[in-house]
Amino acid sequence: MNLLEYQAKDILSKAGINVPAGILIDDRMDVRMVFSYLGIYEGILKSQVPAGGRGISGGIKIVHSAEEAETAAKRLIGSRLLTPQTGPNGIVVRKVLFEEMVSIEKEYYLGITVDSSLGVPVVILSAGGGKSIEELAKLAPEKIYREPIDPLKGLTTFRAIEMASSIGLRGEAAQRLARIITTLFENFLKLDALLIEINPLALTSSRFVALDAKITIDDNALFRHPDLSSIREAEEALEREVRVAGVSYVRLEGDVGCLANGAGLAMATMDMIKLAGREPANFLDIGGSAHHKQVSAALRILFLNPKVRVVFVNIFGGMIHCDLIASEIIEAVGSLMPDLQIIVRLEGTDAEKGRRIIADSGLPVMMVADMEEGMERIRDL
Amino acid sequence: MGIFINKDIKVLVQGITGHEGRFHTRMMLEYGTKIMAGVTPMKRGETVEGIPVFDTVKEALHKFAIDASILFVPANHATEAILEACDAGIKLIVCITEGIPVHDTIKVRAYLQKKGVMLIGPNTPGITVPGECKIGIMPGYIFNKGDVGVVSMSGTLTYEAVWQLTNEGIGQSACIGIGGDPITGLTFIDALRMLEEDIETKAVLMIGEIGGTAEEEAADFIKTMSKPVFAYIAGMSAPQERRMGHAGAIISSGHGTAMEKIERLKDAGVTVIMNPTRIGKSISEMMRKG
Repeated sequence: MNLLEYQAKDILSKAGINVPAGILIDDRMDVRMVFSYLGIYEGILKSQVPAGGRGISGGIKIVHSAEEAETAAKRLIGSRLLTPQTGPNGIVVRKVLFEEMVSIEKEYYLGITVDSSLGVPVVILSAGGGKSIEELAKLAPEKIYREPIDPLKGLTTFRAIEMASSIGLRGEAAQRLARIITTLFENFLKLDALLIEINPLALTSSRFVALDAKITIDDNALFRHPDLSSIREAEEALEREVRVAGVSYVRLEGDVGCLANGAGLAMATMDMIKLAGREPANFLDIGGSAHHKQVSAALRILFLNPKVRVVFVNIFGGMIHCDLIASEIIEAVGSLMPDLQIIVRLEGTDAEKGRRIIADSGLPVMMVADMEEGMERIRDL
Repeated sequence: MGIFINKDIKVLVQGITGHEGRFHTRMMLEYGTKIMAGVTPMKRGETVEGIPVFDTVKEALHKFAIDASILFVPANHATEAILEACDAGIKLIVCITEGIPVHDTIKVRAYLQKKGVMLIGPNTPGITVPGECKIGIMPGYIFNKGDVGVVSMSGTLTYEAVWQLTNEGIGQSACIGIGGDPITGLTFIDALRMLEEDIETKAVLMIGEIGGTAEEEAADFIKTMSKPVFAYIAGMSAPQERRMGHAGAIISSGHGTAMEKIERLKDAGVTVIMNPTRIGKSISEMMRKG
């Protein structure tokens, strides 16, 4: 789960890390009232969407007067923001963060994430912050300091001070940065975060300020963070249905819907559709041990997508029993009667039973023996 | 050390009384796996498929010699169960459970490494040595004894690949699922090293996925291998991942897409199969050509 900037900053601020003074504006608020109440008319308006690239996509505006602020805020709220990271449909902006301007002396980058090849958390620190950090990582990797943390030992204050001095900070500034690093690491563990990033971390004449912040929480750990689940932002109806059902779904542009059990098989199924000369309408993984709820929700999502012309169900049962899948297909086809070509491949646990259930139903569902035959059928359509 | 799992290895099932634990205990027994005991707290005295159930791993070990444990324990208790097995002295732990928080896996993995205990998974379909034993949930009928070693990050896609091999008359020496989580115990490189050292294995099939850099690191290891390696990387058609922040990109320094993985594997001398419906046929054709 990706937190929005204001939610991440709220967490940082409560942990004692400085963030700019600001106020959150949503579509129920009278923008003019907010600005006259604040009494400041120069500031920065930032669209609150869970995606990067807001700046270059018009989601961030610097304003110099009440009128300008009001116009810009009204324009942003309710608009659909399209950034390189939002996907083709963009994301509707429901909230805007209005913040004071901060005069910056120097920008830093500070991030903590999980290094999957080392299997440990890693702290990343650089004296070159801002948007160009990935560029810097490629051109001058030696300017980016990376510190893997032993999970059994944790991060000591001493190491944090060493990190701060490794990027050229001395004395009080090094102490302050070290405190931010250790605080951030404590929160990384406490929140079950997969990513905490402050970029840029600005040094002003007197202090460090987190100008932007990103936090991603491990969905698998949400069960022990009931407080975090409550800050989940308003979701689109479909997203909600998908999440509640516990399936992974990503909508794409094509017209061949597909469903598989397991992420690898789901991706291989998409690859197969592409090789057949068609475009997948989605990625959909019902998971390794799906129950009937997941399966029926997944089928509904496919059948109700108006773009979909063909549906390919590709199941290799391990944990999942093919007879359960077959019954759900029959149920969904029978009740929704979609005007689609439905192709089904069942293999693995109880495949024979599943195939019989579909054959006996008499419904217009085409069975194929394997992926290769499925690919041929899709190509021929 | 090669593939050290054979028909004599004695197995414990943790979480044996649950729905999945029961079902797969039966499936493993049918495959010929020597399951000695099961563990579910508060269920001592019960039996599952004739296998005695104990409250703790220690109790089970008191009664039986055990070489390996397989876990069907729910995600919120799985790491405790892994630690319990490790502290009781079991040297191979196969964790089927999916959905374990990453931070839990990080800690457990570091602890087991220190203790010299092998962890396969989490979120793995397990390991199967055809004709010998199965510690996992892979459907038994898809396998045939032979000389191709399979290593994979995925579950069901592995079954697909193995089934295609079997249908082409190509048997398998071993099939190792390393697990689909971002952090796993056994890695691609560990599994490849086992297959390289295994005398039954003549060739290797590796199934990877987009994301992460495990395949890129495996490619560097494959350069040192003497056996031919085939690979399929799932996700060529997947759109570029929506990534939050820059940290992930800094760590992977731009790697992770299917094309990058494929190029790196090709450079390492791997035969990369592009069509997932023809994994078996491609290998069959290649092996006939010699």
